[in-house]
Amino acid sequence: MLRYALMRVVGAIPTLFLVVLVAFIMVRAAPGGPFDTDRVLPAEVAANIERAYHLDEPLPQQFRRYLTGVLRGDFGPSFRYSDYSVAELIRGALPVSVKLGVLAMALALCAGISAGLVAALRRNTLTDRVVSAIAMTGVSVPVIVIAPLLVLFFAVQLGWLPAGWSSSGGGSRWIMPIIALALPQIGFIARITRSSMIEVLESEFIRTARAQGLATATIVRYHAMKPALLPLLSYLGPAIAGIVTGAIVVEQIFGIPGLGRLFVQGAQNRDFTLVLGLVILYATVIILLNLVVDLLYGVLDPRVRRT
Amino acid sequence: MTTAARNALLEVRELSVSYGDNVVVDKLSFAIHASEALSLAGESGSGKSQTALAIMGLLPPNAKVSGEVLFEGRNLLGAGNTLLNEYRARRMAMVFQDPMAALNPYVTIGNQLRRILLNHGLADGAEATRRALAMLKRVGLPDAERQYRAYPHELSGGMRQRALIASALIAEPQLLIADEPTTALDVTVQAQILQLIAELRRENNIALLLITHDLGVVWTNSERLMVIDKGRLIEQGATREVLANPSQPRTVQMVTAAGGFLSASAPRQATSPDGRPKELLEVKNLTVTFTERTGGRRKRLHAVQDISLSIRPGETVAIVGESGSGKSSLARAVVGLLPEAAGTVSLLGTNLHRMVGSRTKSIRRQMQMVFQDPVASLDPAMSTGSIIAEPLLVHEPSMSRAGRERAVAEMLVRVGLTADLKVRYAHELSGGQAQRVAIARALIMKPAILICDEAVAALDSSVRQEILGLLQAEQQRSSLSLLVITHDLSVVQQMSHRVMIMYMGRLIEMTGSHELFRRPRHPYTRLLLDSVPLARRSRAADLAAATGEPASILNPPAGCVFHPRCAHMIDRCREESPQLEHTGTGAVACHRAAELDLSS
Repeated sequence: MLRYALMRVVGAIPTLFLVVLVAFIMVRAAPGGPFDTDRVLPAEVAANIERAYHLDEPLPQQFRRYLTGVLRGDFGPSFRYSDYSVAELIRGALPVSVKLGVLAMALALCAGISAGLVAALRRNTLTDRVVSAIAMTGVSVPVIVIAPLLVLFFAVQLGWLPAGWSSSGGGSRWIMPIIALALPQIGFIARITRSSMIEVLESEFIRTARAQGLATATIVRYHAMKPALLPLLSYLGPAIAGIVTGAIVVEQIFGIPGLGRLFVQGAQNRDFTLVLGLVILYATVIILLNLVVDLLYGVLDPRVRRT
Repeated sequence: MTTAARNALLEVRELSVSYGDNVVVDKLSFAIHASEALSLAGESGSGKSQTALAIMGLLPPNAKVSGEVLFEGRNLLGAGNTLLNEYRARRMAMVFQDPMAALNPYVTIGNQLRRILLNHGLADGAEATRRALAMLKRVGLPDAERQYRAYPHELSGGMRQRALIASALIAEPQLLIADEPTTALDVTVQAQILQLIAELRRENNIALLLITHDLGVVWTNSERLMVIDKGRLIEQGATREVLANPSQPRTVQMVTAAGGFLSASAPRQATSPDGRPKELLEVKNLTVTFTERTGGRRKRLHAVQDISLSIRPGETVAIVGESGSGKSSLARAVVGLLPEAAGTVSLLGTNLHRMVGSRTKSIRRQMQMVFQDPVASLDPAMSTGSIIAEPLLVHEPSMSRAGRERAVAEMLVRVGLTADLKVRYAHELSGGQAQRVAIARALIMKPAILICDEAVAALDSSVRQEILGLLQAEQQRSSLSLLVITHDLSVVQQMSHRVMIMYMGRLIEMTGSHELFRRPRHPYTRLLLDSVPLARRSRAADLAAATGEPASILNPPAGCVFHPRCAHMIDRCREESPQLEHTGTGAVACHRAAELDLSS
């Protein structure tokens, strides 16, 4: 298994290279540059700045320079926040985003799995229909719609929760961003859990368990739970990607100083190095977590364990 | 209530099961007494499994039931799970057909057994573990401690069925319902499982309701036999009497399919039209080697090892073997579907390219194939008519549309279907109809040889007879050669002129059909014959030799591959692999062939 993991990590290198290359080309292809301002700079000053940041070199050379830096662990200076390096900016915003993402994922798993199980066990009852309807709403309504509605209802109308982010605010400022971020994933997870549990409950080995006179609770716990939840593992990869991209929107809406907001600002300001640094971070995180999911599959499913 | 009924362990009264307007069990009544064995036989769709599920209370919610299922006088039909769970496992238990599907793939064998004891409060902790392990030993699982911790996929088919039987008997029920317990197993393993059930029954005075489509298995295993058809009882009585004098045509068919070869005689050797035998197909030194990856290491797997064979025009050669014997790989290599094949295949003296794609069109149309699962082998998106017409588009592009339609209509009638079936799709056909369509698709090319890979294995016995009859009629008509791949000796008896027996990729015996049944020369051939239950009634010999299952083909035993299971094994068999020795009419690969007399 160690060998398999190593091979996967090595296999990820070309993927990462492609991601960096495409991102590099796309940022450069966008109109405008990091030092465009309303004031027109004297040509000499502009040229000086460009030289300082090596923007005067041909693109392939710039790319090579950037890549060599990354390989040494140097993501370069931020073009916009000249006092900070990209690494420093990311380090500052990372903890907030990680906390938001992990909590949203945890909520999505707990709520999604419970809802899906309840719906499957009470199939075709009112409970099942209500859960399925809510899950469908979660899946089909984008975060960009849900988040403002949450704010309107809980902050503006009811006044229970703060509408935005305040650096002094306690735990309550986390609640709405987490819910907004988790809702679509709750929907997906509930739907996957429900259909997979229903399929498992109709399988022959569950019929055997019923023929053995096992109580329904025992059948669900010992025979059905694990096979029903395994398909969720393969959804975890896309779910993580969904949380990462969802966070970009949610952080922007609630004004949370995380990576997502940094990313949006970086893109708006043509802060080339910041955007590229974040792209590499996101890609690495998603590739690594997918690898972890695949390895978990091998641990949990006895049939793939040996290979 | 009669005395008999009062003493009955289980009494089923006027049981009916229906789905919507479809009645699958129609007012069925019967009783089983303590430690008695009753067989319920019928073809697929006869309602036999539905009856079993109704007794256990396992029918799906959309099934409508009426009547009574009395267990020691208490009606369980329509009862809730709370009441049923007092009876399930502890008083009546069930063994299902496919042990791979019936066992939970995510839970170890030991834990599946243990859970039953824990759930019913019959034992706790260490005691449950001890009893589960003891039960696994009692059903004859070798190395039970290791199997206790194994997952179902790590066991062979026979071992899985033993484990499933262990799980059924662990709570010491008075009644065991076995629903086709050996249908998914190889014949030699089937005989072992039947013997095990008989032993366990005797030891523990368990009553048995044996559900089967195969009248062969009821012979040694039940005192009484009921035959049902379309949900109704059509015949019943003492097992031996019913089998000896079946009164209903449906029963006669089933008896024939189960082992009728004892009375039937093999077809006569065909002579080629011009009188001199000329080889149509010749296969020389065919070897198929797959490379298997296990745990990062590559292993070479010899699915077929150095096999030569030949078929004359109008001749039928059967290749017999159990699952994993390499018989299907052989067939596919001959047709040109396996890039892993080595050796030569020639048709009428012309050497053929290894892959079908590189063979010429005229060669390709000479050789056609019919597969096991008829519905799966037809394109679901094409109508029957276009499936049969498709080969004509390729091989006779000049044919007019009207000509093609005429040819298709004629072909449909020729294979026993009506011409209006041409607009149907595969899923709308019964298994027998679909197989006729597959045969029509092959025959429309006017092939010289038809390769049938278990072509009737998935069909009911009555349909099976019709399809075999159709193939024989085609052979008479056009001196078609048949290469029949099968595990079923009754097919061999009925169809073939010559037989080749394969075991773990090797050809171990080649002989004429007559000779095979009268005078088998390889101990494995003898074992195969003895494994057909109806055949065994004429032999006093018990299945002493029928221990074990074929070894993994990834780790073939040294010496003769059959030696671990062989009753006649000597030291030489462990070390030296026997060569195929040609004798007068056939060939055999056994060191002791000359001295052993295995004839019936």
